[in-house]
Amino acid sequence: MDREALKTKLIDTLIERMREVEKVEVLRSSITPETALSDFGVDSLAFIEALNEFEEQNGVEVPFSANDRRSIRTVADLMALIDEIPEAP
Amino acid sequence: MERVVVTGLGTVSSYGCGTDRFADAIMAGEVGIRPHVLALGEHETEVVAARFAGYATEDHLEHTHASRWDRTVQFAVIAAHEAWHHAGLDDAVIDGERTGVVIGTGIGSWDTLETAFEGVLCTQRHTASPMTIPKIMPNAAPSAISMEFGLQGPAMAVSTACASGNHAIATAVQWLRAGLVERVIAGGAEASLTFSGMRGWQAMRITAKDTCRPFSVDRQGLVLGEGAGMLVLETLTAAEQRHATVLAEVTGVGLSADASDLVQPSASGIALAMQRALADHGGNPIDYVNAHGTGTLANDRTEVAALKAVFGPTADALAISSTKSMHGHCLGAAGGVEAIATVLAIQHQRVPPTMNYLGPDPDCDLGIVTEKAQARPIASAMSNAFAFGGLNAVIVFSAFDDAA
Repeated sequence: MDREALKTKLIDTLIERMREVEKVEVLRSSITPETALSDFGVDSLAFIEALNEFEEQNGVEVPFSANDRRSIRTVADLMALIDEIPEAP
Repeated sequence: MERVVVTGLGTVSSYGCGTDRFADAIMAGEVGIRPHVLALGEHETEVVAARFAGYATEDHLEHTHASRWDRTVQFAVIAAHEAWHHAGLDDAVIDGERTGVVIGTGIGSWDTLETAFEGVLCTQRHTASPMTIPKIMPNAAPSAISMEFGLQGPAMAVSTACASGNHAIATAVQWLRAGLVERVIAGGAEASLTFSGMRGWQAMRITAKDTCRPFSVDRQGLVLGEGAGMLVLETLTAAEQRHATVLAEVTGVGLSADASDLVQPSASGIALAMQRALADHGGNPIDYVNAHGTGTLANDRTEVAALKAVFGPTADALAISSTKSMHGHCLGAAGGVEAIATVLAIQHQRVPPTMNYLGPDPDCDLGIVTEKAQARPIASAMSNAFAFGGLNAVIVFSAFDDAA
């Protein structure tokens, strides 16, 4: 599994979703690991919507529950989820 | 202002039909949550839910119109019949024009909706059943009940997602207090454990894979249930005139909206509903709280924060439990089913437990009753219901005191 490629794709999915649904153009160059998701208008429902879309497109399952105690606040938090995807047996 | 009393109860739940069966189960800590497979055409999904497994219409309804009722409406009608009978109304001479019906449902008849879509979209058929629309409409349950009993008072549906049942009871109480009617069948019904419905919940990533553990450390989220809870509510005057047995009194109603977020609950919005119910209850003490307690991280800690804000130093003395740990989250039926659990707690003077508890969560540090039912004096009890969309409804029931 190429986790770095998946991370890029997840950011692409988020940017795409913001463009399509929220009509907000987010510049890729403006995104750093410290960027808060809320800075580009991503709330919990928008984040989960993008995550579901990402899973569907890439055939992977990201181990994240909305009941999780950790908060997914920044882009780095989001990328950490990709690191948690278990390797296929 | 007329006093409002409860004279009949009717329940359909994962335990089957009947309030006695429901009472035995929740007082014994029997968990009705199991793995099930929900299918649609060739699709299947595995779920953990409190489902009325093995339900067959013909076992419970003889009526020829039963085929014209969705599972949700059938549950509503079965529970209404039990409540009507329990209230001693089978042979009573009553004024049907002064009797109303108000039923809450969150989604309504998802089973019928799904079947219609599946038929039209996935098979070669291009006509749906002519019963599709009258079966789906959220007012199908109050309509069916009005016809069953010949009731010509006001009748309507209330839809506020997970608070629907409580909003229905609140509406009935206002009708009775205002003297608009002398009797109401009120409650909630829901049977939306369907393949596409579950896909919707799974997409929110909020359902538990193991079981429902309200207020517990390591809780994973909510577990859906289904059923119906119906109450016969009457003015005290009407109940006394026909020498009915009074089971409890409704002494407080409080409604509010969070006006903040679609899915994140607000402690201040929830607290407003509880404060209003307490004020309506005359500021008298509360002994037991049948919590909304869905078992999600967000609900449980927000509900505890609101209870602390409303009850202050006396919050520690409250006995609190979430019976959803046993009968699941019945959505639009939750308020009805939990109103019944609350009235039973008063009748039995026992707090039904919060099951599946693994240990305390520091964010939920109040008196959660766990593992088994607890005997204690219960003069008054509060039943909470909070909906997606931020709509809150709280009802207070009290032991009936005819000297009051």
